Amino acid sequence: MLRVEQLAVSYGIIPAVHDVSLTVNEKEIVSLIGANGAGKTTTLNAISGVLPIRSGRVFFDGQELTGAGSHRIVERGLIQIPEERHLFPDMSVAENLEMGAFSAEARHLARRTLAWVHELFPRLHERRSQLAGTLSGGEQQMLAIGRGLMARPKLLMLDEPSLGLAPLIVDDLFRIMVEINRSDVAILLVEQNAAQALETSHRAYVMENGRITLAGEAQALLEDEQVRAAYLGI
Amino acid sequence: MFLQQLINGLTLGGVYALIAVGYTMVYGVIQLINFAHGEIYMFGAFLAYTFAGTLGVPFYLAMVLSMLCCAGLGMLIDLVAYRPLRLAPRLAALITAIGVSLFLQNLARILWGAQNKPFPHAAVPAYLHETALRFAGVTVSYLQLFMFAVTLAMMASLHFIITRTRYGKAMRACAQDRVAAYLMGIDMDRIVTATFALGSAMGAVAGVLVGVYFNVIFPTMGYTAGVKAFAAAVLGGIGNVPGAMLGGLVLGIGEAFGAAYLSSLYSHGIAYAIMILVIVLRPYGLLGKREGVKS
Amino acid sequence: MQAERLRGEEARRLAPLRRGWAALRAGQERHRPAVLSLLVLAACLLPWSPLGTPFVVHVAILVMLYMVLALGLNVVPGFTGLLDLGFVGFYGIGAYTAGLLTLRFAGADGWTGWLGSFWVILPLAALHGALWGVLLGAPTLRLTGDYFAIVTFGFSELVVLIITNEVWLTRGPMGLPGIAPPSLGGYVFGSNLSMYYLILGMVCFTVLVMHRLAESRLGRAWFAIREDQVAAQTCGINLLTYKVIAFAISAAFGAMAGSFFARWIQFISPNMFKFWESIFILCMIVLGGMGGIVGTMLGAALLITLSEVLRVVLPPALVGARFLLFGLILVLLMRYRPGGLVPSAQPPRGRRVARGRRGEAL
Repeated sequence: MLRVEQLAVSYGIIPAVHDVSLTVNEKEIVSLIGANGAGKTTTLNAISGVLPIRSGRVFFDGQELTGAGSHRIVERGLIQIPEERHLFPDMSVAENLEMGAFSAEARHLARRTLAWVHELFPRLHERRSQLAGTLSGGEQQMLAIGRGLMARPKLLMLDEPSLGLAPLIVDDLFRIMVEINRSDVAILLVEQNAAQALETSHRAYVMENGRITLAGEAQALLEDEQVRAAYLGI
Repeated sequence: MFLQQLINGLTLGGVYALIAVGYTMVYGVIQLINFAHGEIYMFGAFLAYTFAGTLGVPFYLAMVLSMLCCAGLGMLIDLVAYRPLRLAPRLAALITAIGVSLFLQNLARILWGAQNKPFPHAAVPAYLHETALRFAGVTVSYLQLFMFAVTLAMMASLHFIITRTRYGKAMRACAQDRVAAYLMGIDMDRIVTATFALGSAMGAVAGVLVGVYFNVIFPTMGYTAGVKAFAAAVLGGIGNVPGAMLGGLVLGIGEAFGAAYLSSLYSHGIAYAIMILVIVLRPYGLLGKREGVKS
Repeated sequence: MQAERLRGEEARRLAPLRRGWAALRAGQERHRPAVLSLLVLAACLLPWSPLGTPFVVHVAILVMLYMVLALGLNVVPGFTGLLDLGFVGFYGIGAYTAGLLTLRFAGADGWTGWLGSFWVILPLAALHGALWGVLLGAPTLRLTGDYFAIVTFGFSELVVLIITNEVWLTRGPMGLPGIAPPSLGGYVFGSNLSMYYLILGMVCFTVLVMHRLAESRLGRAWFAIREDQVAAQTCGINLLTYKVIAFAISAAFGAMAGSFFARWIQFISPNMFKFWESIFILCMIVLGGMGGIVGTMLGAALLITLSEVLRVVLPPALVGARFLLFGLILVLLMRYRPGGLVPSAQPPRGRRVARGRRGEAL
């Protein structure tokens, strides 16, 4: 469903990501793991149009989206949940969710989607009139995901969703991710928490210094000596 | 005396507030001090003057027409001058804004002449200048009542727009987190255009009201009013819409009392002094947030 | 994004041109002393050449006065990257300091007490300007650029208000007439010709100082602040101190130019120091290329000449509106040539990606 070909991104003259190719198929959970600064977030940002692409191409759902404006990318159903959540802090939970369904198509289905999001995250329903900035860290992450779901994604790109959250909440989050995936939403997951990410994913890519160095079935990677040593701390 | 000053202050303060929200909304969305906003206000007054005085359009209609024209002008300015610089350093955009302001001010000089012009009496409904209320030594004209009413109506509609409509909420979203707004597929360009249109329309109304109230318009009128309104926006916390409304009222009242009790010579100075003091002591303003002010 | 890509392409296409230009500049570097001496010599001879009509000499004095002003302003936006919208406030402070001291202490022939002497007043006015620069800068320079710009603007407006309203001191809107011209020994600088050489000397002095500043440790700290504040801070540069120094030096040069202006034109009034004057000077450095000395001087020369020629050529009704053109120049420059006519080494171009609300890269 998502096919990235030989993507290269640079910050000014400093290259950050070179020659990254990856695919995510329908209904799949794929994770992208690697050390800090390996270029994972940069890759996501380039796919979603936040960063300009220097070379390479991005195809989604059979259409080329290289360099398309964010509203076109979002309309096609490719949604990124950014690192550090990026909520609208002075807007209520309900308003944040409403902003998620900004594109025309998502707006038509907003009521139904909202019911689904509330089902996934009952807490968001309880807090619907509270300002997003006053939520706890876990709740904020739920809201960030909920807001992304409001756009009716076919593929959800999650950037470090577990960052700064307590282990119990992280477990919850991964459970919900699987649940979302069961509703036919493919997921591209960027995580530093490699063990949990690999356990949840179907396939995975390993990034190092702006390149993809290893790819394969998640289970296989979990058992790979190199990966175990470098990312799982075993 | 006290009550009269309070009423005069509120009348002017409302107008400052109308201009101030234009500054604050644009700043909120693209972090640009739109120096040309004062000139939009001036164009609002002159366009109404041309419509009502020269072309004989009924006053209230002239006001609406002037609003629409200024909304268009605001969008045009953004499109031609500011949008190409969205990715440029802030200094470039700020200098452009000053350039636009200089350009518009002198364009008005060429179009309408540099002299002070009275707002044609025949063009304004006569009863507006009559006294509506008289109590406890205080007189309130119909015009003042009209100004209150218009200001309140504009503020109420603005409030409705930014809290209830999709575009309004998107404006707030862009102001609060631009990255997130982008990722949600909110088309920044359209939101910014809408912001300019809305702010400019409100500025135009203020221009018409002041033109009629003081019965004089001139090409540099946008400069002082612009500065004061900007001071009001800073006072309330730049980027904060309710703050700008409050700031405008506080400044208007402060100025009226300052002129009456301190020194009429320095009535303009009060705005500058308040502005500098607020920036130095409490740069996030009365209602603003503490972040992003210090470098 | 599209624009970004196009810009990259453009850069590639222009690369050979750039290299040529760089070589040319390197050549200039080598011959700089010779070129400079030639320029100064030419300036010295100008009044005696057939070109040296009274009108040309008058315009040349204005050009050089504004060169000093523009070079002074340039220290703040050009060297440290902060927008200063109130520069003319310091110009006014300098002019009024000079005007008041001269009227108080100098006789009509220009020399009765040492405090009335131009040569004493000049540094005094500069110090007075610098003092206000420190007083204004110290509390406000820790704020981000926009806020600082607004404070400077408010300050210059207050200066105008004060000199307008404190009639007992400044005679208010009536202005100060009859300020004596400078004198040295028995010689009175009574003619435009003598003032021409005086201001020429001041321009040389200013250029020298600016050149030394730009090459000094101080200058390097300023450039570091301009390019990246955070990085500069992590290098141990005390941002506030360096910014205040820049602001004070800039103010001193503004006030110095003001004291020359008062003694040249011999009459000053509050409306000579209005906000638009600041913008006019800003326009010069933007046109010439912010941060560069040559560019700044070129900008001053071009805009003053343009302004004075337009004043003569345009019908009287349009003379006041010639600022329309300057507004247009600012807008077009920022759009198409943000580095100005003579871009200094690092044009302030969109090397930065857009910023989100909290400063993250978008």
